[in-house]
Amino acid sequence: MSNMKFMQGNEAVARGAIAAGARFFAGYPITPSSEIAEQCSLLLPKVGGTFIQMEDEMASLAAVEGASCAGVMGFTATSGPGFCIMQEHIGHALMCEIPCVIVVVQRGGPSTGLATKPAQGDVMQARWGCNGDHSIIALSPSSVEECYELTAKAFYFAEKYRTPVIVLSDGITGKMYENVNLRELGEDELPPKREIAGDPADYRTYNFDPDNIPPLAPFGTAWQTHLSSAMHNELGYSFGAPENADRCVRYLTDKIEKHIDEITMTRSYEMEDADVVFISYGCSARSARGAVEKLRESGVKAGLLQLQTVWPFPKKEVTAALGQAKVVAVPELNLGQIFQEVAACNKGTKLISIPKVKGELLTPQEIIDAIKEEM
Amino acid sequence: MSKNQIVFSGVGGQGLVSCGKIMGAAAIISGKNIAMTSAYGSEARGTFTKSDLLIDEKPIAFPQVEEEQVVMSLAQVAYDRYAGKMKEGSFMVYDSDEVKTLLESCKASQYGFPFTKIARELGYVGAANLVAAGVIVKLTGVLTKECMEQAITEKYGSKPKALDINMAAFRTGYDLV
Repeated sequence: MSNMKFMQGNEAVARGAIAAGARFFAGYPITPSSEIAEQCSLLLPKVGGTFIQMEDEMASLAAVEGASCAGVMGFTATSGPGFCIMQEHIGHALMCEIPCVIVVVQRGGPSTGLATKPAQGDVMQARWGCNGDHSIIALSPSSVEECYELTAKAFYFAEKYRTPVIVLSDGITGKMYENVNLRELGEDELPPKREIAGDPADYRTYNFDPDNIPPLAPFGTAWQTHLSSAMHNELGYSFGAPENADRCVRYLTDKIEKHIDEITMTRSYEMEDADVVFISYGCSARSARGAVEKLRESGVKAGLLQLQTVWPFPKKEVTAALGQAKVVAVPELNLGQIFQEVAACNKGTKLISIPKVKGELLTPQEIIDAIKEEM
Repeated sequence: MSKNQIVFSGVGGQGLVSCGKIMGAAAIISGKNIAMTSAYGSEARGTFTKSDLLIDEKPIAFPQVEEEQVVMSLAQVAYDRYAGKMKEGSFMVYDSDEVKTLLESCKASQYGFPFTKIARELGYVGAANLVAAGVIVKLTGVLTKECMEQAITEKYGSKPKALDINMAAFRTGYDLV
């Protein structure tokens, strides 16, 4: 009890990043993410870190990439309009394999949309926002505690898989206050250190093996790196041969998808005997939890599968949930972006989309009303 | 009716989020779970703003108020939004300086006091929120006076003048009912 704190989701994001070892933040404040920048400006200098307010979102992510190349874990935070601007550098970080974390506190869109209202409309932008085939990791917190835990985990995945990782928060989760007791991360939960050994002459920036990703050697060390966002060879030099292009693109997908079991994180609420199942994530998972509580009170065997990992899509867990249920419903603050992914796993279970794009949280009653006829 | 679903409503700039934060911190001091969410406009001031505070012994699933059990209204626009849908047994606590038109059919027990005037006389008009919070804490018993005082001290402890005024505002409100 003594360590119980009253904290906002956005602050927990900043604290989770710092707990994981992040020491660099560059960003351009935007509602509803601004407290992340504010907290970083207060907290990072105290741990010897750096906070920079940049001129725009593209520069922000470029600076974060630069810090990472210098060996310092960095991150930025934004909302939908800024996320659009960052896409070019997300693709750059993917292609060059520069670990970094991008926190997106989603608000109503498209464009300026609803600046102060929540949404989950950037799920597909997180997946496919930048050009070209690739895979990506995106984690979606639904509580203040998860803002801390999943942001820390994002850095772990970023370093382990040498890739940008997206934290898909939203205007409810980021701005919400809850009581939290933030724990210290265990040694094995901290992002792997970039340990580079051996003869510098033998170091290769890339090796295209999904199971043996070489760490990115910090600039200025004996292990020389060369980064190119064009198709490249092991040394990082531009190499556009058809077979090499094929190798690069498949590798960028495989290095995430082949490790989906490790990257997938889900939480189950009342799922053991559930035949009415909600599949949801972020703030909408809270709405669904409220619906589960109410339905259970009235004798309905309802349960929730919460997707903490949104990308890569947790097909195995979703398929199992579809298999045990009579009815599955997907509440989300968009017009069915994750519903489509669930539908692709479905083999005949009654499946309902519960979309909402009013800039308001779904209420448990709205969810119950949406499935009433199916029960 | 329990009194653990509380809405702080008014217009931007009245300290509604701050008030919810102080009561939320007080609830944590007393060992309870809380969740607080807010809705506001892009404008810094002047448009409808509210904070929902839930206080519970068990973990809170859905973090918004579903049944307005206690509503603080510091503006007419806020009062009008809630007065018609509140149920019997709930409390509407409003600023009688700001809310001039009351709903006769309102089922809530209504408590109007000139919070803004009281706060101005105490030296800071922005403390009207804590005067109203004093009334709510006393009426509902959802928190103890001591937990609120500790939360106010933690919030303003480094600013003696702000602490004095805000503490006085809370205590004045507490003694109004």
